[in-house]
Amino acid sequence: MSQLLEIDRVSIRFATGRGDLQVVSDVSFSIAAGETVCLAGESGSGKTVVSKAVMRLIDDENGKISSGSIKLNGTDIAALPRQELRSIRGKKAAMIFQEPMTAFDPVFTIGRQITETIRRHDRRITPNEAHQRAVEMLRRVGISEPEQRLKQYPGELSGGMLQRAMIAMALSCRPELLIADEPTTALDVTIQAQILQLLQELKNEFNMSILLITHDLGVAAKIADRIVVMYAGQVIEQASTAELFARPHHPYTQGLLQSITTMDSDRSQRLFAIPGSIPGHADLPDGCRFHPRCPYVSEKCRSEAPPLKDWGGRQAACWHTDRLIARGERPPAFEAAAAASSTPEPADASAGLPDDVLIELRRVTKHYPFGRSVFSRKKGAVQAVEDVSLAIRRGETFGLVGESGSGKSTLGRVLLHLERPTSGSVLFEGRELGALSPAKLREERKHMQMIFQDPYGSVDPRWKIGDIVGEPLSVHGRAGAREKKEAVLELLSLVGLSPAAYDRYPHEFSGGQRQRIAIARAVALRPKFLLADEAVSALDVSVQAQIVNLLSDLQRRLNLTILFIGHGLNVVRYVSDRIGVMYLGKLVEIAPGERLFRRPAHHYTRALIASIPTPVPERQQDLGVIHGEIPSPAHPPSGCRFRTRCPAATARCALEPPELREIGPGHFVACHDPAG
Amino acid sequence: MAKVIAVRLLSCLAVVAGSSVLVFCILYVLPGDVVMNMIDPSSMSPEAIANLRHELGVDRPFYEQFLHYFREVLRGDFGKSLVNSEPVLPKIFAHLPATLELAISASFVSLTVGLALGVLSAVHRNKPIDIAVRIVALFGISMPTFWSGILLILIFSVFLGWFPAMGSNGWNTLVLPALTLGMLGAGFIVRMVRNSMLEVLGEPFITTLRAKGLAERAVLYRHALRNALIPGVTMMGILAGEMLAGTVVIETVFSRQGIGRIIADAIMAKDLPVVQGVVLFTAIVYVIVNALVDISYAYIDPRIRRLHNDRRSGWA
Repeated sequence: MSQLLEIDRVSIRFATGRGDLQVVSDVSFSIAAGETVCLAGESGSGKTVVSKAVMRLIDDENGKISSGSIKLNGTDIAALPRQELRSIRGKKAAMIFQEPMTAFDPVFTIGRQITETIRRHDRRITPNEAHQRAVEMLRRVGISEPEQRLKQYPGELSGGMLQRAMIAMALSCRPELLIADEPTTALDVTIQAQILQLLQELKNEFNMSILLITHDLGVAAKIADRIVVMYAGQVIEQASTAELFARPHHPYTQGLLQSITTMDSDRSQRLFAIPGSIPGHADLPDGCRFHPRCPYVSEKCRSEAPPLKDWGGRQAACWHTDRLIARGERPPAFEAAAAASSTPEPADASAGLPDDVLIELRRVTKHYPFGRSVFSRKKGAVQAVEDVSLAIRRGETFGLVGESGSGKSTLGRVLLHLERPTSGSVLFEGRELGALSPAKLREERKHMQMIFQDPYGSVDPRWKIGDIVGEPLSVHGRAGAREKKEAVLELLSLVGLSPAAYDRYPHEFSGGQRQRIAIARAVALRPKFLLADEAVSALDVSVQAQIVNLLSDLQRRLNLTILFIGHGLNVVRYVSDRIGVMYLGKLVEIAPGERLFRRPAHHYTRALIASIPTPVPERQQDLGVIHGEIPSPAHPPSGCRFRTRCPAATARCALEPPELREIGPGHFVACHDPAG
Repeated sequence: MAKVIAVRLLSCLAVVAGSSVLVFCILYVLPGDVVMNMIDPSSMSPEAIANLRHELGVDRPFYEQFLHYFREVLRGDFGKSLVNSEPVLPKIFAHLPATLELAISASFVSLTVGLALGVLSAVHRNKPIDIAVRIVALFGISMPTFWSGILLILIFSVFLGWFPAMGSNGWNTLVLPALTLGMLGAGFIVRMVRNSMLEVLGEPFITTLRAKGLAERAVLYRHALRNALIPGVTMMGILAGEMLAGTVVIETVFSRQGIGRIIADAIMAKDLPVVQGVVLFTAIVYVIVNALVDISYAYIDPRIRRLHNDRRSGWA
């Protein structure tokens, strides 16, 4: 195969206020025609910078390729004058991005933006022909009523639809190389599966190569031919997908693969986590950049950087690869760490007594009315949560899953009484929250705390850590200054932060550390109930595992009851005793965690599980991916709300909304014709 | 859309009514006696003064004066000047062209200079050209117009003799006042455009546009500027207010016969009906301009248009 893209010893520097910063060092890899290569790594690894450098998009961000060459079909892009870059961008190589919602110009129609690209690269084409081509492209990527969509603005389409439109735009000039930067990270698993499948089809049809940037090895396993792993600005390993998963040659790759929570993760074991976090570009360690986190570290690693060496058709940059290979799949070093940290689960998986209910929802409904104004009466409502009853037992972790728009976050907010339910009631230890006076409710709030998704947005950047963590203590006026400081220091050590953090500000901490801060704040008052709303979704895999472990430790030590809302199904499965599945405001299935994954009864649950990309290449198969997107909660379908996307829908489903009924021990499902 | 406009117009009426009440009240409680200002108290008998008071209606209770004034205003009668008995409304209309001329040409100066320099500044962020533009903008904002006006007169009419220093007839009398007032607005616009351009240039979609192979010119002017101007459109209403307020000083400095000059003179002479009339008139103009701005906002930003459509179609 001839090489389409050859990246040779490329280094990239960015000009910053404090001088140049080298963020990519000596990266080399190539992509053959028709090949899909995945650039994998955690945030800060430099993978996105490399992908942007291929089209020299870093030029506009004060970055420059300081050495090396990037050859696309023999033309060295690194040496090309800016003027000539334009005929390559969008024509020979095209790009799609992580967040389709922000990747389109919001004030131009989709159509205008697609035809703009087409006409930019084909000056002879008439506006009408360009329009026709745009319509064809939209139809090809699976967008219905393309003529209509072209007239719409980006804000009027869903994320999945926009990503399809983005793909259509990228492919409208038939590029030879498609660069996809985390194309499915911002999307739901069901939509992610659809988009990945689409990319796979289009690659063959358009005969192009794909450079896929992702942090999710599950996604990589699904569509990549070859994987290049980056760490702290360097390539540390590259191999074919099958080889990489079967026998990682670098301790970092090995650690990454082990940190992934899979369907097979043993709940009685702690999750494997690589200690520490990826270093910043300004303070890289000497020698091998991974050595401070590596279990194999030796004197040589600390002083000398290992070169990228050939290992029979694949490459790895480690002094100890031979040892790694000799030891086989799971090295004793990691094994020991895992064993030492594993603590036995409580004897009974569903801790408290079945009737020891901490928090209960009774027929809770939450509607957000709209269209109300001075001149018109209420016109309708977004039915975010519809008639949900649920009891969470003391000491258990209840997982809640569903696509965005399913109402799971709203349910969480109603549960904490951050929002009043439209109807129905919330009982905390038997007391109805809605009936309490504001003062009493404030008192109850002490027992219920929350951790949010975005660790950057949920702490005040102008407050010191000590004050952030200590705030709940002051709010509920419990302690004097010295006692407070002691309590905060204890909390910091509880979540694994050093006492030095007390006087520092949030920007000095990484995402994972900030999430620890948020957790310390949440448990400061020793609450009985903790709501974790997508608490690990924004974190890198290795860090995700650390936080999940921390949460389960804390649960045991503080006897917490947790409602864990997530879209990462594997993680939810790992942490939860029981899991509830939501679809369009309805709770459609509740079951003990293991049982739900082994014997899912609702067709929606089955589809959700099938959409998870497995990080095992051999296991990839085309499972029944559900089609379409979640309907608007303002106009839910009649009867069973899932019927419009359900493979097993019958006439009855349109007429009669199914009730939750028990089909096994603790297993409830709302379906007329449950599977399995 | 029609409903949006209707709601907008109704709220305009409320604002106009409110501001006129406010003006009336402020002038009512202001110290100083209108009648004593009009006449020489030593030359008139107390009966004659009382008669005059009665004639002017200022001896009646507050609410009666108030209602009377509004009845007259609604009938289109803004009252008569106390100084020379000239009816107020025709006087305003007679002086309006000079003020409009000034406000429009000054806005034109503000917009062209402000936009051009703002974009230039954002594109060359932290380069010498950006720093120079920012200093110029700072001067524009911080120099009081009466001072910068006099400075321009000194340079361009006294030393260079290019433009006349005063008057309001002919385009050459307009140049200096328009520049003076325009520089103030330009300063504000430069800062606004620079900030929002920088914000837009940091948006992910700018990368998409570059990745499509668009020329930098198209990225900047077709896409980035249009996005950057959306928040700026609301600024236009405020700018219009600034321009109207600015005319009071500028017209005095350059001796132009506009409504800014009328009100300045009327304040000096405590000529209350004229002050009231001009304030009410400017309030109406200001409110109408802002309503137009708001309505045009919906046309420029599809997201706002969508909000209204959604309400109609039932999607929130």
